[in-house]
Amino acid sequence: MIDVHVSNMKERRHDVHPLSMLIITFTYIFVVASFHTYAFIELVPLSVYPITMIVFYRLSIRHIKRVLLASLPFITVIGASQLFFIHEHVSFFHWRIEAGWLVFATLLVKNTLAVLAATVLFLTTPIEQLAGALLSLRIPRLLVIQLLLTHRYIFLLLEEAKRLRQAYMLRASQHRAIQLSVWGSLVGHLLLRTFERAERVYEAMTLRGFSIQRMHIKIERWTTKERIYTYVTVILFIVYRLVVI
Amino acid sequence: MHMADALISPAVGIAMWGATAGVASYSLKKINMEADEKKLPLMGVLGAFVFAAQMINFAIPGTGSSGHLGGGLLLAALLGPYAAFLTLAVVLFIQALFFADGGLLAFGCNVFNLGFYTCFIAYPLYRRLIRRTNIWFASIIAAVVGLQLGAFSVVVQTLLSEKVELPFTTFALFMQPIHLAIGIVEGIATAAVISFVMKAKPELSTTTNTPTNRLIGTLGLLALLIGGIFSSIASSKPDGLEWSIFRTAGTEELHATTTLHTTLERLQQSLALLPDYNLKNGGASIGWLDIGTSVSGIVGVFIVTIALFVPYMMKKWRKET
Repeated sequence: MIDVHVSNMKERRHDVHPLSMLIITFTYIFVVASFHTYAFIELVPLSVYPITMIVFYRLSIRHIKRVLLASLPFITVIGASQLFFIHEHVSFFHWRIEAGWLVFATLLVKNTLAVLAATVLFLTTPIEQLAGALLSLRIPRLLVIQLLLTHRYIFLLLEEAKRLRQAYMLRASQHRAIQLSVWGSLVGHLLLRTFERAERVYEAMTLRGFSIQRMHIKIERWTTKERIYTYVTVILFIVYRLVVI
Repeated sequence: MHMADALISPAVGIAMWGATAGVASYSLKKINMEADEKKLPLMGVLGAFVFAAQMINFAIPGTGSSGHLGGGLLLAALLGPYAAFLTLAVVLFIQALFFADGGLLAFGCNVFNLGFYTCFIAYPLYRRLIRRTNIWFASIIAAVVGLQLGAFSVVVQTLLSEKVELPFTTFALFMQPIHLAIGIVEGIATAAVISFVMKAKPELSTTTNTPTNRLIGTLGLLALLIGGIFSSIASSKPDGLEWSIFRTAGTEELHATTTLHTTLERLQQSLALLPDYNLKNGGASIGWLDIGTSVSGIVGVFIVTIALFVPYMMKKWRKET
């Protein structure tokens, strides 16, 4: 995950303004979610947006595949349950199929499209630019700074946790998972180290004259061209939704 | 327990975004960051810690399976409920965006289900219990309560969204026991970490005041009891106004026939989440308990609480500022 993230950071192009990406992604997910439970066919044309973005930006298919697979378990269980609760039959093109299957397929398509849209946003927009877009949407500065800080430390602490787990497993190879009696102190140590890190971070920030109000987050200018692109895309999604009921 | 975008309707998604935004802005005011800037990096780093700690699984004795820390209750115990709620909101946003764990439209639902109940209901309960019992018991009970409420919220939000055909009883009977087990594991994991930290660094345990007091808690529980259970056995006979109309016009409800009236009536029927205090597709019943009416009662209590809570808090902020 970390390697993919770093490589994506290098490959990213920043053609689309982060605010445009944010607005388009939310509208897209909103439109996808608004379709009814049997709208399998109606949803398929909406895949054009994420597929175009993935191809155009040459986004990492491996990463997208991993994220999609991670999102599947819960939705699959809920979707599969529909086969037991819906017994009516519907006509699908020339076939007569059980409606439960159609609902299941629709859920999977909806989930795939929503996850793809969010992943496209993540892979095309660096977190610093996303932070600027959130600020221009009047999200409180404190939350945005916290987003940046958490994102900054996630990958560091994930590495640390990985090393901790690896060290335990090498010493106790007969165990599949860490024993509960040891686990508390192991994670406790990680927590204490985290606290010390927070102290060091704060001291370093203070020495550089940090204050929440003065922290600089770049807000990129939203040009007329980008505005038009955003409005046109948003209108296209909404028109599609209104036309295909 | 992360909700996906495919399971919720835009109406439910936006309503929960609104509720989350309200609680988040209240929490922002309460933590008073200008007075304690040191908390900011701590919140950021602890948010990252929750991710990292979730990677370290522990063996659940006697089951052959493993579990991991959820982190909500631990964050509340270390940072206080307000800062913990904001930290969890950021963690869930990152999970939704980077790991597709929970949707962006469902973000409000997820913050409410995983953050609100843990920080503002389970954590005050934990603080109360810890004064009388030991940390293990307090932690397990608080985690179970938080997760049970969260799981029930998932059921209600999914049913209100009407994107899947799931009978309320079946879905609730599937979700609640699973989350009972998860809650116990979460409680044990949280207690294990807190008891280690309390021994190693006792000054880290928080002393933040909790937002509830006994009166609000008792009234809230009473309202939920009445809304959730006693509403089922409420009289189905007409109320005073309906009775009077029946006596005068021979019908309990008057029906207008003009275009404006019928259009508005159709609009109201399509917008009403719980028409006639019931689920749109009706509800199952267990014995005398009418599930649809009970859900309507509980949802109603929540809506009224939020409607009362938000203006009161806004008035309070204005006074403070």
